[in-house]
Amino acid sequence: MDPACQNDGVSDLTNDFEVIATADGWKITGEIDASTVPALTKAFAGEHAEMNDSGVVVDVEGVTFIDSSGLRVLLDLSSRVKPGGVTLRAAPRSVRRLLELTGLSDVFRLEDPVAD
Amino acid sequence: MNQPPTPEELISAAVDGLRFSELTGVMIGEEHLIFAANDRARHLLQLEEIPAEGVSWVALTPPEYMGGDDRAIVDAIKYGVSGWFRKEFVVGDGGRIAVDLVAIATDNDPFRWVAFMRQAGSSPLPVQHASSISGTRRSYTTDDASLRLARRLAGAATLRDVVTAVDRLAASSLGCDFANFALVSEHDTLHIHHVPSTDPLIAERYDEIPLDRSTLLGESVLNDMAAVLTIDEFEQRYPTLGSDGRDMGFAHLGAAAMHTEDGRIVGVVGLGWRDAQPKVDLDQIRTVSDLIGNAIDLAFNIDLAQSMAASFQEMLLPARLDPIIGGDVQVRYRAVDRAVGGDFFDVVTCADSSTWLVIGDVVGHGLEASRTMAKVRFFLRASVRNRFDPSEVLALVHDLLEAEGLQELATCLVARWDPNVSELTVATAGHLPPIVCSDTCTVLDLPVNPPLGVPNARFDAGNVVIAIDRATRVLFYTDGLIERRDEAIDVSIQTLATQLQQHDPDGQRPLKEIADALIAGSDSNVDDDLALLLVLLLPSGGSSVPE
Repeated sequence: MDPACQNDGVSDLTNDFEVIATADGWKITGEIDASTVPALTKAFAGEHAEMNDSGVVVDVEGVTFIDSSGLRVLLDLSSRVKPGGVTLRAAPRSVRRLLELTGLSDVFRLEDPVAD
Repeated sequence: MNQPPTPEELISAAVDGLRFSELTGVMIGEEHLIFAANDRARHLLQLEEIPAEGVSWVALTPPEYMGGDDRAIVDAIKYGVSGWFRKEFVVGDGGRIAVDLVAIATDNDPFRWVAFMRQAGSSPLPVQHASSISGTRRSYTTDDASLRLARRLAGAATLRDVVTAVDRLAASSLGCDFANFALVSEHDTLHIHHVPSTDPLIAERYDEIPLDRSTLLGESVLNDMAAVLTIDEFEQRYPTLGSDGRDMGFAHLGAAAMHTEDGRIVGVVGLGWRDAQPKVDLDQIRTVSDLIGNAIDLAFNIDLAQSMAASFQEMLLPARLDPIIGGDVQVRYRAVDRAVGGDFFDVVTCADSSTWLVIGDVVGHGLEASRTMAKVRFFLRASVRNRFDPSEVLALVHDLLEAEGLQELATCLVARWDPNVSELTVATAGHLPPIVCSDTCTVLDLPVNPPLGVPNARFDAGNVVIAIDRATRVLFYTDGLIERRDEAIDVSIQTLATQLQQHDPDGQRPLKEIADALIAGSDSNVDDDLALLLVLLLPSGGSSVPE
């Protein structure tokens, strides 16, 4: 988990879940499952609600687990931000594989990590 | 071939019987602890996990709402139900949520209750707060017999409970010698409810009498009144009834219409006094009648809710599986917390001998997931009889769901076994790949469509066809069988394939034993529903099913 992201987020102490607003979207760390989905939904409903044409970027580099309820929230976000859509930044292998297995690879744009 | 059903027909077939009110949650309490709450209530309160020690109602309630809760509890004790009221709860993240609640007392000692709630919306409360209800009701007399009756009625969950309470306590609470009640039937007759003390003569003579003004009971209902008459007045006013009342020794006879909480008249209480100068309190008679009417109404609603839940449950999963020609099948199903889950399966054999095997998983748990699951299964059932290709079936079901405006997602795998040509055709909508075992167990590699319900999704991934040339076992499953957070999903699936191989190394073990072994080996602590479908397929002219 990126220690720089431990402040100002909606956090859940039980599994270090955190979602924070960034310049172009959100950054999520921790496990996305039924216990953290409500916080994620709440975060997505807030900032960036206007959703410009270039879409939003969700940084998922720090996501250690995502289940189907988490994919559902990302899909909901995706249907709200058309036409720009949702870009998943720095998706770990496990997240990419889940997207492949569930036939959702084409629904999200996948982007490599931002070069520092 | 029959005309395929139109999408409209499929939709109406699936929607029929699936209407739910906007009620969202049920909480059950004993003293101040919430021991159980259903998924929707938990979700609403952002309490995804209930701690083992329970959740204190007090801890969930902001201090300024405690007074309102107390009033609701008092009303629930007095009338059996609190009336709808609005309050706020503290939710999981420390914020607040406004909810509408109605509390129903199920037992007074110790005090137990059930609360139904909904998220407070723009629509008005079904009934105003109990404080305003009490303005329209008689104040309750708290002598012992009346209080015992009120408690008994508050705890009544069935009509039989109401009958028992009336038989034992109604007469003594009203100081009369006889109390009975009759319900208005849908045929405009009065149906006398026998209580054990009911005179058989009365029951025989007055049951199913027409609802008209020729009897005191009928007139009380039609004129919405409560009255007590001397036997002389009674015989003069209702001459067609003869001298039955006098023959049974009654000096006074009375009746009062029974109202429900929302003011409907459900029936009438009939009363008799042998005393020549009884102490009669018409207000108390009205109060007790309404208590009985309310208890009857609640009992009917509970009956209705139970029968709806039962019939809904029956719709969710197939009552029986069609036999597979040239094969055999075993299913296993487990729902978290024994609640209704979102996993589903089906086995449908068509007239052409082909068998459709279906497994799927609706995102989430609880009633919403179950409703979606039932729709998907109905759509699939209707679709497979008219399509020949699993991929086409998935696309059609997706279209139907989209037309329905459904918000839920479902992964689904559909396979068609054709024993005539010994082929299994498989297509998936975002569901986990099946494991196919002939000599060895391997994970089937197949193109993947998105899950059902993804907006604007294309279903063009197509099918995979497997030629079955020897006895083959195929395992379809949901992620409850494999979910492990600490390892990659491919590793989990491969582990399952290895387990399956180990459970049936020589391909001779009965399917039932293999399925049991898979369930026994699964992690029962995994917080997800689980379904598996284990199928044995035999090529035409092949070996028989192993015993």
